[in-house]
Amino acid sequence: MKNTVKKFNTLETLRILLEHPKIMFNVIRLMDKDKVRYISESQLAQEILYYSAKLDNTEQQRLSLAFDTDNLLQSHILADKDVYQGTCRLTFQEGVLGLFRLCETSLYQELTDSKLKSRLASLWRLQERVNGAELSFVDNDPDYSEFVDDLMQQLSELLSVLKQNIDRMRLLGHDLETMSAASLNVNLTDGATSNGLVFDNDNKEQMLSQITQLFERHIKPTQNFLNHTSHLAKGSNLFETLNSFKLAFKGNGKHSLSDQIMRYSMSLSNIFVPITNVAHQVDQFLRKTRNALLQSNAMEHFHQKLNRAYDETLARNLNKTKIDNKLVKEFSFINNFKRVAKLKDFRVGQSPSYFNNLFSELSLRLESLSATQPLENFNLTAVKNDTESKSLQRALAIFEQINTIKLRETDDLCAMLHYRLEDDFSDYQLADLIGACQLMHSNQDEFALKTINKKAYLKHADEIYLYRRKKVVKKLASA
Amino acid sequence: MTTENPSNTTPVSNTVLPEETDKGSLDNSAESHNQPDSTTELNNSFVLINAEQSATIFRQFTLGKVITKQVFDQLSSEQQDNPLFTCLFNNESHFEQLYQHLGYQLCLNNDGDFYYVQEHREESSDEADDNALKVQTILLQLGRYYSQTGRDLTQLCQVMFGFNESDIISLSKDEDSVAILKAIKIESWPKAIDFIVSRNFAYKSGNNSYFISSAGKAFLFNLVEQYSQFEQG
Repeated sequence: MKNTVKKFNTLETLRILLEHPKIMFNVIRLMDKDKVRYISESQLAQEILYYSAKLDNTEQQRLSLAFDTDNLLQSHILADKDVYQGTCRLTFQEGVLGLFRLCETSLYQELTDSKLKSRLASLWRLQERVNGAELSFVDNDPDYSEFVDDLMQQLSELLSVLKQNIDRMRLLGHDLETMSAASLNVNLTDGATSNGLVFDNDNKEQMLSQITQLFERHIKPTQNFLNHTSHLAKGSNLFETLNSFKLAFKGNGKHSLSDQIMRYSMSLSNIFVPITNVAHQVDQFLRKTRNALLQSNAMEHFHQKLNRAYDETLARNLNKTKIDNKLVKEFSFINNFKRVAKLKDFRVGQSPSYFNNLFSELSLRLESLSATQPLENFNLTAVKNDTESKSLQRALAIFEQINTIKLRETDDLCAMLHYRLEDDFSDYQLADLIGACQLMHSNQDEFALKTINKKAYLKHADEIYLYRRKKVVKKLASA
Repeated sequence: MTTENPSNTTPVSNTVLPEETDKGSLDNSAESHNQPDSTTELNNSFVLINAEQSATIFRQFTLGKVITKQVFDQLSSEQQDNPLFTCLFNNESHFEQLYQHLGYQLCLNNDGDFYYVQEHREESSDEADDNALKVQTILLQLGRYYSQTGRDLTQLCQVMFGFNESDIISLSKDEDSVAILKAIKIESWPKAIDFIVSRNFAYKSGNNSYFISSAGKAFLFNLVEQYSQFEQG
């Protein structure tokens, strides 16, 4: 039955593969991801199934015929097929894979240090043959012509893989941008929660290690490989090796070959500049990212100190609601930013409003002074050993006095009363003031009394009266 | 005419005719320059300094501000050299003496290019105070928030980036940060920003945008530097 199945030749099969390149791209990605050189038959079948779902029937049929394992084998697209532990593994021709890698920049394989070294080592093997005078440098000698073929093939391969890599690395700038933007996006959607931070730092660390790996394992070695001045432990560097070939050809009169080697050498050294640019770019990025990590860690480190200081305010002590300012010593910056104290000036004004205030205060005082006039006799009245009636009279007098006092708006009622009573009664005591203040409470039509949360104290004789200040405010209705 | 002249110029020129007053006062000033030179040096430094600038500097210090090398000019929307800083810098020894006589110590922070004053008492020179606590707590929280959102702290201190209304809003939503503000006796984030702006640790660069001044930057990067040494050591 199988013999009757339609088959395509190599060219046609390859054409179909290239018409639908995504399948092969995915296959290569899968292999690269697993770091293997084969793909299982079932994985391939799955890829084809996904891809061909949206195609029409004839196209689907063509695809499945082209990707049929037997067809791939007979058209030499598969290099090998073997069965290992029950799975059928397909190995594609390197040439075919190379073709697809060429079509998609992201599929280029990074050059590793060991890949580069093995290429250089095989050049060294050729170099040994030259140095060992094994070669005849006669065109007809098959040994010699095979040697030249081998050398040229190796050089052209080397040049092409390096060039592919340069293209790939040039895209790195874009990659880095997307990576850092992605981490920023994570941040913004996550908000400033502490979880978001942890995730972000992990993310950054991971990104950083990826890039560092790329930089250390791929870019740096390539850069070293292409550096004219680098010294290798085991042999001459690339350009010295090429130079020895060039001299050998030249010495044997093979000028065209010697020129060709020189051109290769020039092309290779031209690659050094772009790769150095890439290396510089990545280095900058790493530095920047490392810096950002350092900053973020530093902020976090000191914020924890702040948090600990804050936690102390949550402890049992009821009076502790404020972070202790000793904390600033941990920041070892500047411990205090004192204000320079303002000089206090003695306020004597010259403006009309200043004098208005002064005169109204004076007239008020005069008015209350004239009200106390009749009481003058009281102080002079002699009462025989009659302290109780005397204190009663005195209380009445104070009561009278207070009723006649005219109020004005003031911030501190007690102080005002204190100074007036002090002036009016020679035997004034602070206790009188307390009584007076209590009287004032109930007794007002025009003004409202407001007790505010500011404290003040008065000193009289040896006593100190500490009190909350009362404001006198004009009532709106009467105004 | 004659009554106006004496008030404009020096009282000495009372009897001199208006045409000659300029010349007379010039001679006088030349003499007054020469005399202190030969007698005392202290008077001389006062003569050299613009009294208005010196008074402005004093007023800024009474408001608890630091004086940075550059200030943001709202009109031209760019950082400009601060004439007060230049004045302090050029006459440093004069001002050091002046503030020493007032009981303070004038200090220059080299990293942040700013001047500040400290009380000049030996036992209290390294005593912490609440203003420093407030400024530094606010800056630290702001710096932490900024690096959490994936931005470079350098940008926080640049006019074209800085921080803005939306940053203040998202900080205000963070309950922990507000609780810490309350524990340093500051009600809210807008008030906190006002506080550091009023002390010249940040400048307002636009309607709703701000950036950290060189003084604030010095604080944040001092922390980063300390941490990197801590990490290495």
